[in-house]
Amino acid sequence: MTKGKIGSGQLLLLLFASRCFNLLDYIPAFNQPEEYTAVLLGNLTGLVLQALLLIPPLLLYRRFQGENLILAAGNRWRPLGWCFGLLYLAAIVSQLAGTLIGFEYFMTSTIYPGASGAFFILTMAPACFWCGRNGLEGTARAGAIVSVFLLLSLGTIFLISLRSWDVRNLHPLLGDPLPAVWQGTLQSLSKFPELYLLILLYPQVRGSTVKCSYGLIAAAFLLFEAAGLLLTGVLGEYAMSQTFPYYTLAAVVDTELIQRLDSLYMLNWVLSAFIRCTLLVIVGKECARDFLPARAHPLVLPVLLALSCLLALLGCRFLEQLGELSRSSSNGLITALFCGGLPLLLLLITGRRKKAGAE
Amino acid sequence: MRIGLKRALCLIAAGLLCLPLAGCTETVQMNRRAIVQAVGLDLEEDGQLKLTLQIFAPAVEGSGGISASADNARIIQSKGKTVADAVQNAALLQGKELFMGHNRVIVLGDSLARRDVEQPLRYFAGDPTVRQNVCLALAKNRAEDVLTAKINQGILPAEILEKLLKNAQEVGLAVHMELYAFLKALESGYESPLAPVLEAAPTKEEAGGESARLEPVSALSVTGTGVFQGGRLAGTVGLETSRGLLWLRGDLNRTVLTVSSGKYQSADLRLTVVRAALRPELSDGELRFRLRVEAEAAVDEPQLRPGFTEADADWEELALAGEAAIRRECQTAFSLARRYQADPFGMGSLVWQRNVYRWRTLRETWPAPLGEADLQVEARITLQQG
Repeated sequence: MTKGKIGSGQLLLLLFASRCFNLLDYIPAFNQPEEYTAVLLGNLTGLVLQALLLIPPLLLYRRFQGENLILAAGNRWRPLGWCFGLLYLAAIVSQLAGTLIGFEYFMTSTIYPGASGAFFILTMAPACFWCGRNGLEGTARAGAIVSVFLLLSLGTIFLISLRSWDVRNLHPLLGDPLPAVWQGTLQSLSKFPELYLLILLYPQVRGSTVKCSYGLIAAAFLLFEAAGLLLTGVLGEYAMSQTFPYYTLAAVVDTELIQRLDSLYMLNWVLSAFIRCTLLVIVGKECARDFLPARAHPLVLPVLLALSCLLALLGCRFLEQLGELSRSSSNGLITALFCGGLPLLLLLITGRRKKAGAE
Repeated sequence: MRIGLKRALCLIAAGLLCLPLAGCTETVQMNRRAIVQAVGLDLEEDGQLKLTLQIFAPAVEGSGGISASADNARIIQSKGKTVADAVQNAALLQGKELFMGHNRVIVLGDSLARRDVEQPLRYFAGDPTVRQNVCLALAKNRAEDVLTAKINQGILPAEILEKLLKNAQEVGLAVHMELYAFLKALESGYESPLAPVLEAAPTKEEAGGESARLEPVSALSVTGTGVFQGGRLAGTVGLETSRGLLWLRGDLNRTVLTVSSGKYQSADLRLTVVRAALRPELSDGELRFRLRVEAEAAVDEPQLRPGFTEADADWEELALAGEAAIRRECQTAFSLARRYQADPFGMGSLVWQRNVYRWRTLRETWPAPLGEADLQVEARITLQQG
């Protein structure tokens, strides 16, 4: 089955809309470091690291045009394709479950306390799976519209918050800077699954993959830094004691016309969660189909749906443990592995084989 | 798949997606809600908290609109060991569910403020329906006196109360404090939060029959600022010192300074453009702060002393008098740091920004080092001629 192609700009907007979810979902208690200044500095160093991590997959795609990582591995050595496929699929399913848990947690802790978490998971998941089933093109078009809306509404919240901004709330790092900034760097990677979603979608991009890749990390960096500076300037250290600091930011700023900007935040939340879940479904589906036999393809979506819902429902019961896991610095290393490590490994393997073949 | 079935499934998916937005998990009809407009907290002698809630109770005119001449508010009072307990008990007194989403003001009673305000305020910070930017005020005596005071303006008494507090800052007489800013200062551990002080004037009972005089707009007035340290009220200051606090915090945009000089009995300097910059100077182990204030002002109602005429008019003298008044107010406000062991000016943040290494040593004992610090105030007023 030929996969539909989308423009590189459309893909960039789609991934950007998905990335916005991490901004809205930022929970200081589930993240490190503890000072937001370290998060801001970590974003800066993280940008450099992300730029470097994108080099191996771009080189790999240049070598194997029209094939994503899993296809490239499987076409060279079938078991390798299976390994890569399973690894990426596992990462995608865990991100999908994590997104559903994050979505449910916000809804039940902040908006509708006491509501059933299962209600939110079991309404969001089937809707996303249905939209994901219809392919990348429709989702990309929706993502482009949603990303523009997200930018406008986040921009509105940020512009209004400028009135309450105070430079005295910005402080240099109090603790040891190097470990704190390193933690911030890893944190900027850990919640960035869009990096390896992007490299898995390279064959479906019509246009420059290089521009799309570096455009994404630049746009995400600008968004997170601007948002972080505004958050810190308005709330200071108080932000780090809030469960959802960006929600608190939307709740404390107001104008004569709109007094409850948190309702706008909530709309952004649902839209970005929807885009992210749908994108994960699409890439998970394509991922699975790249290494599974054709007869298993019809089962991919139902199995993914069931697995992600089950993991999400279970995860809701073990939130504290998940929070501890989320704080772990190894999450950033895992993203680095999926984004740059595995493509580099494949580059080296196929490079050696080519050399051996030539000899 | 058939087009019709596909469209139906798309509609179902869209519907499922909209459900989390619509709040379909729990609904309460509007006529079953008591919309809280203002909250007052007092500490009773038995140690219980007394909660005074001003709820919206519209008095409808003949044409069906809300009457602007009526109070449009009712009071609910309850007690409890904690705020949550008192709120729960308040719900038992009437048949409606309390809704805090439109709460505009939280007033803290003096007795409660002197014990501890952090835990009661945490209740409101933790309630997702409560706006985090709700106004905070301190009552001179009891919060219930403030909330039950008659306000003869507008439709909602709490709305006027909220405007009263905002106006006090706009004219440069008192600080405007919001819930999140107050808790932010408390949580920092080194900053001391403030709250404007509201006083309810005693009502005069007219002997028999209707009053022959027009009723005042409001029995409430802002009389100063309360300074908190560690969640407790350390003390209150008057309006002039409150303005000094605003100078030092950089929160003053415009105000009127009434000054006198050798030639002038009195004159009002209406400051319209105010720029204030506070900087720490850390050298040789000493801590100093320098405040630079630049303002543009117009002169109103200058009254020359007997013996002086218009030919003797000397606005430079007025400007100097104004600058001296600013310096005096700032120094008086700064002396609070020594008196109350407090830092309501954000000076700790400035030291942190300037020198993080020095701050690491000062932070543990802050704001005590502020008591030994020195403040230099440079004020410059440019009078607009004409």
